[in-house]
Formats: sequence, structure tokens, C-alpha cells
Amino acid sequence: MKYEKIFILITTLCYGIYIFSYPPSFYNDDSLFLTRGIEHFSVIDFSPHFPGYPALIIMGKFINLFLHDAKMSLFILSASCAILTPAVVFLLVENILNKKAAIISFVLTLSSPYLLNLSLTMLSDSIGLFFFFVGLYFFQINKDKTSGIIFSIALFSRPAYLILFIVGFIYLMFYKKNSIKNIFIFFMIGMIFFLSFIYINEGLLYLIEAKRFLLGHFTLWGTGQNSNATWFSNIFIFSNMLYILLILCFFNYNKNLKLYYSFFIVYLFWIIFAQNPDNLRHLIPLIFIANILLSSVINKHTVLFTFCFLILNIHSHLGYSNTLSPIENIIKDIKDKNRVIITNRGIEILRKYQENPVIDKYYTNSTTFYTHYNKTITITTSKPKNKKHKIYNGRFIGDHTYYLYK
Amino acid sequence: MKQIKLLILLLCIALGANNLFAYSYAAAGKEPTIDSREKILKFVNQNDFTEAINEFTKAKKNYDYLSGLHNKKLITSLKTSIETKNIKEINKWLNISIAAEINRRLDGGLKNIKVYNVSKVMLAKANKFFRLLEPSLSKEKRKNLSFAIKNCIKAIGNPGLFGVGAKPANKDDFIKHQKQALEILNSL
Repeated sequence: MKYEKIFILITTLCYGIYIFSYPPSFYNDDSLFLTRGIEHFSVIDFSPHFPGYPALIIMGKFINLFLHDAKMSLFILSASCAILTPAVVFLLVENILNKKAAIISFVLTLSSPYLLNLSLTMLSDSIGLFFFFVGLYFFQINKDKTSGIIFSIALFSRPAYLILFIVGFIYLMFYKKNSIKNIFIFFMIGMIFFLSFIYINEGLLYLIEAKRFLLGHFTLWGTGQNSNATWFSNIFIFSNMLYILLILCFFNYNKNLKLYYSFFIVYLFWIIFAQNPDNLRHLIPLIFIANILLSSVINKHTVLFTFCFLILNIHSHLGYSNTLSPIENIIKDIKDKNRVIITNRGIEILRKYQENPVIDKYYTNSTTFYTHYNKTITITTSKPKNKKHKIYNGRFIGDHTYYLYK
Repeated sequence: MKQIKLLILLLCIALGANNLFAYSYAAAGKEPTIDSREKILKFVNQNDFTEAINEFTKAKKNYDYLSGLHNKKLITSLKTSIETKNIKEINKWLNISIAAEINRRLDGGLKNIKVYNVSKVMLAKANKFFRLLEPSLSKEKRKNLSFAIKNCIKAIGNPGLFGVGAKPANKDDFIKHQKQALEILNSL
């Protein structure tokens, strides 16, 4: 085995040990819904989320056969995918560019603070992204049938990445006509398998909920928000500073990376116009694709640039010392069982794991009414002004800080 | 060139945009009874009872329907409580309107017990309405109502996967727990 492979194996192993030193902890209600899906797959139990995660559910159920703990099964599945993603990025870039670029993209991805987010959130992002990169790797080494199947697993783990598949499909139509037939046929085989799984479980209810969810996403969840974040404030943060070097990629255009330039541009527009800036994690595919693009241009002063990235990434990891998510720390802390909780974060987690009744802050008028006449605890991610409050910090970049006041 | 400038401008606006409305994954969805409650409480919070009665009038048809379904006094008592500016009574009758919705969905769940998916949707809705009512209930009523609804959900069974793990619906069990739920809802 070559030295670089030994390096990748050892660093991936160390990162894996580090991630599994964390306990599984719910990031938000979505991770709870996915856990419920592993216990019992149901469109309604997922509601209002679109239950388009059959690949994730099947894999989660398989792990759960041995563990009998859906939360732990989801954590193992999602964290393992995140842990292995940098290694897949290495293999992919090695085949597109060269070993040097592959090592750079591996180091940038493994040290990225966003990888910690991907590893600990227990969401579909890590699974979708991992299989997406695996599919790209098989496509790169001309294993079209395998890549077709893998792409279907990726899409049915994380349907929100649909836009990347559309870009890929258009790319195939223009530049890889020879591959399109095999990829498409095997992608369809995977798709039929997963759709059958849902149909057998839920019948037409799936389609009714799918329509309702899509309407809801584009009129409410995807476009509304519960914070003051903007994509500008998300993108132009200190941790992303060195990505200014991406400008170099557009002056040193690399033909081999045509597909990845397309992914980057289209996905950037997609998140700005169709994703909620509340969630920094939507930026993760963009960061990882940017790492691939950057690896092609950091060929001069490689050590210096990579070292700068490493320092910045390590700096972005500092300051996060909690092992449990803010919402789970809050649950541990609530002792007064006579107060009603008012919040718009982790509502279903709170309802499941503690006794106090919860009011959804979404209903602003009944919330105001209730606050006038009752003792309450408010949980928010906006810092309360002129109120004595407790602070619950997140575990990684993109994990909101929660505030609690009575 | 003009188009590129326009595109850059659009991108800058979108980058800095902050969406105006909040959202919730836990909310019950579009429901006239919840919407009316929110609108009435908005004006009650502002001590504007004239507007509150206007909102009530707009939703009269729905409250009339719920009165026939659950509690005949609902429509007149809610109207009187707003007119007399009795905040405690307004809250009570708005809660009864939510109780009527729970009653309606439990009934729908029972009527469709043989059609698993329809029954399940009905009971999921009943549970969403219960979550709205929950903060106004005593600890004991909260616990018992939650228990009754959960057991109604259990009673519709489960079709399983390819029949594996399937559980048949138990109508008698459903009726028993529905009755328990109704006792609590009628006591409000």
C-alpha cells in the first residue's frame, strides 16, 4: 500500500474514533422523525416531512436489526457515511486529476468544520452526500451500471439533492452520451425498488403527502424562517474566508472538472433561491465541491495553502466543547414541571422527552395570550434582550445557540 | 451585458434576503378552526373586541358546524364571551372548538377503521389538535387524553410490510378509548 493510502486510512480511523466518542444526540426534529422512520416507516409519522428517504430507512432498519436502538442505528449510519466521505473524495479526485490534488481535497474535507456538522446531526445529508460522491467515483472509473444504482441510493437517501442529479443528467446528455443509457437504466431499477418499498407500505397516501409537502416546502418551510440569518451572513463567515481562492478556479479553468463547476454554480443558486438560510448545513455540498475545485488550483505553494486551510479549519473547531445538542441539554436542565414551554425549536423532541406541555411559537397570537396568563419557559435561538437567560451552545458550526428564559 | 448585470443584482438581493414569515414543522397545517382562533386571539390580545367579533362572524359557519358536532352551546357562548369581553370564557370556548375538532377526527378514525391510511391521517390530525389543547389541560386530563388518543392510534392496527408484522384493527378497543377521550373533551 502506498504511503498516501496509509495516511488516509489512519486519519479516517482517528476521525471515526473521535466522532464515535460523542453520544448520539438529536440535532432537531428531523433527526427524531428519521429515528421514528427506522422504528416504523410511515408517511404520517414523518409528516410534515416528505418521507422520501426509503434508502436511508432500509439501511437504518438493517443496522437496527442488530442494535434494537433506532437512535443509535441512525447515528451509526449517518456518522459512518460522513466519516468515509473524505476518503471517497480522495478516490474521486485521484481519478479526475492526480494524487497531489486528491490529498489536498482529502485534507480540506477531513479538517472542514462542516464535516463535524455532517457527522453529528443524524440527518440524511451525510448519507445522501456520501453515496453521491461514491456514485461519481464509479462514474469516473466507467462503472456506469454501478454508478446508476448508487445514484438512486443517494437520491432516495436525500431527495433535496435532486438538483445535483438534474445537473448530472444534463451533463451526461451533452458530454457522456455513451454512459447515459447504462446509468439511466440502473438508476431506474433502483428507483423502482425504492418507490415500490414506499408504495407497498403506504399506497397512494405517499403521492397525496408528496404533493402536500412540495406545496408546503415552497410556500412555507423552504421559504420561511425562524431566525434573522441570510445566505450572505452564512457564506461570508470567517470559517469560509479562504474560499475566496475559488476565484482562481475561474481564471484557471480545468476542463476535467467541468461537471464540478456546473454542480457548484447551480447548487449555489439552488440554495440561495430554494433553501432556508436557517440551516447552514445546506452549504455543505457546496463546500465539498469547492474543495475539489480548489485542489486543482492549489498546485503552487501547496503546503502553504493547505496549512492555512488547516489552521483556519482547526480554529473553526475550537470553542465547541459540548457533547450533547443544545435541545438535549435543555431537556436535562428543565426541573420546573409546572411551566409551559414556548418554542419554535425541537418541538417534537421536547414533547417526546419531557413532561411539560409545549406551545408551538408559530401560533404567535395564542402564544402571546398564553404568556399573559401563565408561567412559561421560552426557548429561542434569538438572544433575548433585557431578560435574564441561560445559554446553550451548539456542538459544531451551524448548530444554533439556544437561549432559555422564564 | 444587461442580463448579466440583472442576474448579479438578483443574486445580491437573494443573498441578503431574509424571509418574512416563520414556519413550523410541528404545526397542524391549514385548519379553519385554528386560523380563526389565532385571529380572534390576536384582537383579544389588543383589547379590540369589535375586530374579534368580526373575525368570529367570518368563521360563524365553521363554529356552527362544530356546535352541531360537539357542543350545542359553542356558537352562542363564544359570541357572548367576546361581546361581554370575558377573556377567560373566550379562552374556554376557543378550547372547546379545538376539542370539537379532536372529537370529529376520532369519529372519522372510527368510521374509516377498515381503511388504514385514512384512519391514520384522521388520528394524526386528532393528535395535532390535542397538542394545541394540551397546555390548557390539567396534568391528569392531559395524561389521560394523550393515553386515550395513543390507544385509538394503536387500535387501528398496522398493515405491516408484505403482511409481516401486521396487526388487525380492534374496533371495540378503539370505541373504549374514544369514549374515554370524549369524557375529557366534554368536561372542558
